[in-house]
Amino acid sequence: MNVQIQSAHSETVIHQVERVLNEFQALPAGWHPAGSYSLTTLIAIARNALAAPVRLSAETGCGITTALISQISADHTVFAYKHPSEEVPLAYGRGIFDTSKIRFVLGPTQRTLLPHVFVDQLDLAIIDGPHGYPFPELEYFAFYPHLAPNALLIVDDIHIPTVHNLFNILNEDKMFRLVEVCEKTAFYRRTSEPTFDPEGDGWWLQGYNQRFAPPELRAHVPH
Amino acid sequence: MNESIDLLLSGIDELPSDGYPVGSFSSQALRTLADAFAQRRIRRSAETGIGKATLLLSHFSESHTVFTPFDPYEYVRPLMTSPLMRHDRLELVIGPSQRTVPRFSFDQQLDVALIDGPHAFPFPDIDYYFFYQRLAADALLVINNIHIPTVRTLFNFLNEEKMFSLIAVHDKTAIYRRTGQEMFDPECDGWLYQGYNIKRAPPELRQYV
Repeated sequence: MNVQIQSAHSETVIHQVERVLNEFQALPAGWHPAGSYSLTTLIAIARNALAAPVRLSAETGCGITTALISQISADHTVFAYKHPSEEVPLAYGRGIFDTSKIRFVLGPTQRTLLPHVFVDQLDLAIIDGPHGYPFPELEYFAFYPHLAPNALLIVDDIHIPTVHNLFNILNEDKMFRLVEVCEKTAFYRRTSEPTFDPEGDGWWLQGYNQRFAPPELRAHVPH
Repeated sequence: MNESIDLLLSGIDELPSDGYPVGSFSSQALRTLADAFAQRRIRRSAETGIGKATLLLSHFSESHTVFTPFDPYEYVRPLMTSPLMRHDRLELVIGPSQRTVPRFSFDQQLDVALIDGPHAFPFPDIDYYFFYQRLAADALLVINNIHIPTVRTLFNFLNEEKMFSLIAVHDKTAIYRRTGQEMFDPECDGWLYQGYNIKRAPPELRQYV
């Protein structure tokens, strides 16, 4: 299937995105050791990422989205256990990663992400690193204070029960608007709601807690 | 020993509330904690948050680290100036636990860890991440305020986790014992080995778990 994308981005960017999507279809089964996205989801990622400028972005995990976002973002930081030349050599060998725009932070994200200093606000973040609990939660904590208004937050593998809990909590959070769920991937836009203080408490201000507070807590949560 | 525990608990009962109406341990929960603490030697322990359980642990633990967001001599002055508090066993780490816990280097394994810091998502999850990998075999893990929905998710997860055995729930406090199960690798993935995921995996994931 020859993929064509409609977007206000430059023809060069669109051409490179289409190239990634078309090369992706030529990859053999099992090219990614941890499994990968479907073409349908990749097109959804491209469509959402192309909907607004992406100056700075970040991602946990490494794979075809790394190639895709490197064509869209001006500056993409990838937190991955290994370099894609080791992790996904078949995809990397196709020359679809724009390495001039990727910063690799290699090692377990559980160790590399929290100490990382982002140089500016993020326009796009993808949570797709280790999925065991509470690793996606750590990634969310490291990313959410840095998301710019209207930033795109992508959470993959929401069918994994522990990741589904994160999905449920985000769906009730005023900082985010769920714009799409494509297969097992959720897409959110950061609203203009003030950033939830990452150094305070304020559980009673969180939508999930307000919605599901048991009767004995109702007096403590605003409605 | 029982008499001295009774005296300690009645002294703690007489202290004013922690000032956090949702969060204070009930007398029954403190009694259960004291009984559990009394059954083991506690060389090293840690806690996020500060309150009556801190005072309890200052008696049972030989070295107790408290991660507290504020100077406790201002925030919980009656507690800190109580003659019951054993200051010689306390180490205070002041600052947001979201920052201080990840940076802290524990010099030995923990025999007790208490998660009672900020309860908003995902702060208890962060406490859990940095504590679980430090727990000694047979250690106690205490989670307070499991009635708060975002803490309830942690409680639900732990109830399915082979590393822990639930030994008591009192009011809104859960107490777990660390089992002999190998530690879940804190630097890998392994979601498919976690009981919560194994039990709830949808059909398309069953082949992996």
